[in-house]
Amino acid sequence: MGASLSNLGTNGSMIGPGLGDIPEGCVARVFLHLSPPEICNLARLNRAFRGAASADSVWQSKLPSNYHDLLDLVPPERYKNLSKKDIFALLSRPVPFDDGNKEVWLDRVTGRVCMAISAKAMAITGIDDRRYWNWIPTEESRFQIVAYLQQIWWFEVDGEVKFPFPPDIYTLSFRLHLGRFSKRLGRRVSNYEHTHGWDIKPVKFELSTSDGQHASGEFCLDETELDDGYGNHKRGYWVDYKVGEFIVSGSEPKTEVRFSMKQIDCTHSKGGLCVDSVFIIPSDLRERKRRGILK
Amino acid sequence: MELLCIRQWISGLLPTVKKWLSAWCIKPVGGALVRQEPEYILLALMGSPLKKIMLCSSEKEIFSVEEQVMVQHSVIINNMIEDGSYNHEESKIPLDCVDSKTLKKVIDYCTHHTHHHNDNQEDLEAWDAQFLNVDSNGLYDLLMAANYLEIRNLLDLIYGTIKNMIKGKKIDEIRRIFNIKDHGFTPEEEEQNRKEYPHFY
Repeated sequence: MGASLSNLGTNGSMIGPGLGDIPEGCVARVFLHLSPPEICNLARLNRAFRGAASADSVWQSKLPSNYHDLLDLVPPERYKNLSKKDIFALLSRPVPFDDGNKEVWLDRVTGRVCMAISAKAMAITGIDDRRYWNWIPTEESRFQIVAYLQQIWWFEVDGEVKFPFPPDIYTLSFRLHLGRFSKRLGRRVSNYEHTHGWDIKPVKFELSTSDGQHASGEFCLDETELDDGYGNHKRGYWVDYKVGEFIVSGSEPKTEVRFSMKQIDCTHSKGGLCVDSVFIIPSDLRERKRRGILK
Repeated sequence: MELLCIRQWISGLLPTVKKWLSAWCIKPVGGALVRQEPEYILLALMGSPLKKIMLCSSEKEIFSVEEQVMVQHSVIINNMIEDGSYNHEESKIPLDCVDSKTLKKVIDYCTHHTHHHNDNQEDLEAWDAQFLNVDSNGLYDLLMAANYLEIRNLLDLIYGTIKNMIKGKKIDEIRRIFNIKDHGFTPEEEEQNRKEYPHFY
């Protein structure tokens, strides 16, 4: 549908003013329907597009309605006098809070709020006992550190966050890795010497919110049967275990979310697992990313 | 129930009403009287929707159009009628920045949407798509006219079309489609662009 490309003058060029002459105000209205990366790309088209690409009215519409709550996590001198475009750029990079154990950011394409919570911010049973758990520094975590479980009978990890999430439907997931990984001669290798017990009984994942929402799931973190001959699909990768979804209808009052994963059947021990973090991502954003639609 | 009775009463009066209306030089517009819809007759008797206003293009061509049609769509024209700055007997509204071809199209759009507002969504969208099947210059002219007259739904339609024309396309391709020969940046500004949006270079 829409415009065709005819109306050439006698020498083959368009006559009269055309779409390249659209004033900045009109371009800004078109930008309300385009994503931030698209707008930044179009800023190079001509002056009117460049001007519109910096317009506060455009970027105000890309920021969440309660973006001031995110700015509260940033020292004021960093955002004083910033245009709305620069505020969006600032908030689309991870903003740490809670001693750096949690991060929040705006998705670059949709402007929606995403969060990651480090294992450091969670209550892990037995974390202080080096026979059970150790902290391993690693670049593979956005928090530069993961908790490695050697072996334990009572496996329980609890966490919570209270945050003014903008209205949306969010998915909460745990990022886990079977086996311990390291670099040997420049190559990444996984070591499964401690990995055991996860195929016997499933781990129970749960979440609940202060307004009474609840979700849970059970997953076996390991596989016993290697019948397809392709090896174990759960080992050697970071896996996002989806716990469930919760709905936020307003950023006031702040949403309080509690989450946990447990395997407390003490008839068998388990071990050889890395716990990195919990992610809270808008559900359809997560789905699009998983399907490779959004970069 | 009452409405049904009124409709029947008016239908019965129809031949007489037609005579009265032609005596007052009010001509049926858009086939309203031919369709014999009683609501139109009633409204005609109240005087407002079949009133015409005159719009004058930049080429000094006069277009006569139903007042109701333009008042419903154009904020500018609505304001002029409401604040009394338009005198029905003598005035025409000069639209010096809209040429005849574009003005005719704008009037077509407003008239169609007024008379067909009860059509189903698909039919309206198909009509809109056909309406906007114009060249790039024509689209620009329509945009400027709709912007000047503040016709919200036509503006939204055109913005949507422009968005679809540029979404997902590379800069060079858009410059070709929009016929932008000179992007207007100095070399210093191009350098500034490169710094500000590095990931696109």
